Amino acid sequence: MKRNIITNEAGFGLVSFLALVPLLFAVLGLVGGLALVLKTDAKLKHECRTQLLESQRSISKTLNQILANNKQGAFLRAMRFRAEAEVRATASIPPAHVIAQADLAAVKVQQARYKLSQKALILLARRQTVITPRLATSAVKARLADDTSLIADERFKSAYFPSPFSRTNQPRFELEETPKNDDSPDYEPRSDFTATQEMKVSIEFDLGLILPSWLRALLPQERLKLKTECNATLEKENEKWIERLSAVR
Amino acid sequence: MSALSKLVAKLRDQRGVAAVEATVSVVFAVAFIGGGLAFTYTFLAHLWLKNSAYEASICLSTSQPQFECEQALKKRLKGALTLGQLEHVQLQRSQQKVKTNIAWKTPAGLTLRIDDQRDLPLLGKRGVW
Repeated sequence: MKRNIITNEAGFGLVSFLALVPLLFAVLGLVGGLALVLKTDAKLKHECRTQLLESQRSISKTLNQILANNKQGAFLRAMRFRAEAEVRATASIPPAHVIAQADLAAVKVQQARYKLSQKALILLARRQTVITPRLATSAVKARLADDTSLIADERFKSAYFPSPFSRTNQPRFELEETPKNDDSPDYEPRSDFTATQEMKVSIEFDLGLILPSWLRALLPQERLKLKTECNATLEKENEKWIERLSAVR
Repeated sequence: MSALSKLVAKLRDQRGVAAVEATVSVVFAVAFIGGGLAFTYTFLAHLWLKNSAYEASICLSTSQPQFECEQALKKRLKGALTLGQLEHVQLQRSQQKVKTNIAWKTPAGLTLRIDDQRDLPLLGKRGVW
């Protein structure tokens, strides 16, 4: 009897400690889960921002090139004005008139070439503006898939969790021609350029996708979502257009 | 002294040992749980502060007014870290740099300081982790 009592009393501390072990694991699991969620959120946001900024930087280079080319457009307009004046002035002198007309034709060709090259740059920027949000979405989803590949296989995930829900806006690269309908106009960003050029990407997914199954069991039954958003646009700074993240509202 | 009374005396002694053991266990349990929770809270708070400072720096890099970024940061910190005290928040923006400093005091009196400094433009720079 004495032995039993001693054994029981000695085990009291051990039993108390063992009772705390599940609590210890639960707390550690919760901390690990929260850290994982925070880390994943930060990584996805970083990926999203990087994608948008890279694209906006490339578009800003094109835009700055278009704006730099405007000088050539103004020069060609002045040349055209002079050539047309020359044609009018030499109307009564046939040999000089022919030369003036040839000069005018040459200027027109240069103007057409200038306009074509500007249009090509605008088209390039427009195309990039339109496709970037979708590319960024794909990149973020790929990053998410990389991060979750260790947690569960694709078949399991597709059976239990809906695919990440993504949403993007439709940014537009819009420039104004001044003077309008000229053969070598200046191309300037519209007054609302920063707003229309803004790219927005939003991806929402089930938290279960990134958490290990044992931790998922600790979460409430209703699905918890994690939303990753990022916006970027172009802003004018010191006469140059530069890429910049914009506030998520 | 009879054998029975000897046994009763021993049992009394052993009850005393059990009481001491129980007290030690309770103290140990309280210290273990309390310390563990405090450590856990501090660890999570540190993660949250680091993340929030990074987000504040990102906010500063946008054209959003500085006071809006500061308000958003304070709201974010006070919303999540209900225990403890926000001692100091400082946001700085220049042409080449954005900087966020946070000092936060844990309930245990330990001050956590976070300095997040980033060069502009942000492209090509590391993330928070």
